[in-house]
Amino acid sequence: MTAVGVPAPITRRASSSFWHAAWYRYRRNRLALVAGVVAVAILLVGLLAPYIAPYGDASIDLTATLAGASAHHLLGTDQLGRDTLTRAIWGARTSMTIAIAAPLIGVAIGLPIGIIAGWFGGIFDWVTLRLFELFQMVPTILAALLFITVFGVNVWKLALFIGVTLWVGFGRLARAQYLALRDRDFVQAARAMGVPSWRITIVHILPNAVGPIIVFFVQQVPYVIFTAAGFSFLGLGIQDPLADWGKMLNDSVQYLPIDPLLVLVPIACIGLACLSFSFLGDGLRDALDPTSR
Amino acid sequence: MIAYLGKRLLALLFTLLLATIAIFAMMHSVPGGPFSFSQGDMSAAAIHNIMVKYGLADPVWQQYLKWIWQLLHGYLGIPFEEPTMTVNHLIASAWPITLTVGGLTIAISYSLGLLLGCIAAIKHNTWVDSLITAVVSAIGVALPNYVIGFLLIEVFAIKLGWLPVGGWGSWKDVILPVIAFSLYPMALMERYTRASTLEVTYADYVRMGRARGLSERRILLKYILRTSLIPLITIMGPWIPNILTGSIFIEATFALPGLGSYFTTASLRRDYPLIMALVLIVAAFWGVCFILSDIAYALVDPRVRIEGVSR
Repeated sequence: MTAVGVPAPITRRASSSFWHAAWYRYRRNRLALVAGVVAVAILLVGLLAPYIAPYGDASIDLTATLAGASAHHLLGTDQLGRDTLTRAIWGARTSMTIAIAAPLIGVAIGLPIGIIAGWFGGIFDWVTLRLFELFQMVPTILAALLFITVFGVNVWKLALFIGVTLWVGFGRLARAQYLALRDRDFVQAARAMGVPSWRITIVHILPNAVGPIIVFFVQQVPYVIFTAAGFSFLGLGIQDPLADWGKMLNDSVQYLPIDPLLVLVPIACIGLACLSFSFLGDGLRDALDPTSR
Repeated sequence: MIAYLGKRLLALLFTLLLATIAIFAMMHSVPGGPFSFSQGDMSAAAIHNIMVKYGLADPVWQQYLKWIWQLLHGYLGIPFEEPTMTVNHLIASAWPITLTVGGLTIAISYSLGLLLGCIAAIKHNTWVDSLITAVVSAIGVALPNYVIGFLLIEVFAIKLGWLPVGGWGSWKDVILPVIAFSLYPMALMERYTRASTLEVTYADYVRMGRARGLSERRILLKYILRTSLIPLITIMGPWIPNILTGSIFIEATFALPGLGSYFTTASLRRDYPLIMALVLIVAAFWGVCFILSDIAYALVDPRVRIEGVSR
């Protein structure tokens, strides 16, 4: 913490040298580097699941249930004879879809609202602040749970329900960024030259505000993984035949004395994903947003 | 001060009203209802009778007004699933459980996190610091609390048989849920305490104090910690209502009959009165805690002023 690199001037328009400096700072953080590689690897595994999984994601082999690790099934099989490695790989696809889509939905709602509030101020800001208060009052997990029980669930719905509860965080962040930046010299200059509002907010300010938003985005990923797996763990999330880590855990708990591997695999997957994304988030924060800690 | 409080409470009431309207409308806007799943083989007339009995046959806005009217009289309705009780009774029996687990969780995780964070900051850049930071952040961040809870049950309840698997009754039932619930807030507290203490440790006025020859003890307690703990109010304050209203995951894992588990079953069964009551209580509790934390912040930090609040 003492050896902070050159603090990047965030007032300047984010130029290639800003990203250069950020990459330099990120690279020096070995933990973040490893975490970044693991996170990208998990994303790739999810993306390429149909090509790298040894079996079909729902292929059942009732002659080999709870078979334990073998050459045929490297991580064994579950109670229906489905290959655990395959399920874990497809589970990465499910988890990563939700983990990326939910914060994207949060950004899509929160960013425009935050920008309008921070840029225009006045009545817009007042209404937005009341909206923040309103949505902050109902705990996010309870809200998501209510949505699930009322509207039903599948991968995209789950991402939507969790994402909708995330928008306040993004909105607050965007509002704060725009409030801080709107009176800076470069914005005044642009305004004096007659640049229209939409262009100032998007072309001039957004690149300066995007760092903390990216950091916040990545920090939400482990939270979403937790929550989505939690709903599956309660039996309220992803349903068969789709594979999901939380559901694998839920299904396998009762077989723990027979086949501990079946339980350990989803736990390891959840742990690895959460750790790698949270260290990635920390690394990005130190690299992109060196003034905040 | 009183004017400020009044304004905040009024705003709170208004947001509560909006939130309950939104949730009421959402629940009633989708097809299906509390009695459309469980009693499938009943005749239409019988279902209609039940609907009339519970007031579900009225237009939604009338139901809402009736609900508000009862609420103003302190009556929260009858839970559909347990018609022999009132929602008031159900909550009165459930919340103490959640509060016990939550209160202990806050006490343990905040004090331990604070202590560890301070130690890590004081021993900055030594192996003690690295060890604390690595271990705490790894256990707190790597696994969701319900997974940790499940592992704890597996080891201490099933393998060793020292503690009960779950449920509620004796003091032993508290231990495992509190441990599982505490790890994440503890890690968070440790992180923020360490970061904010470090920020102050290298501040000029601290160096100045050292140059004047003040004792290390005095510097630490009066100069560093007093300043560094202020931001923790805004960061860790909002976690207090969050923890005190329980976690649906922890309560499901340990089979605790608390607010969270009632919320889960109530949502699944569309138990409207129970859902509304739980949402209302949780939201009101959060709102009050937010107001309190803003006031606490203004009281502790002389640089922050809120209208009408003086030190």
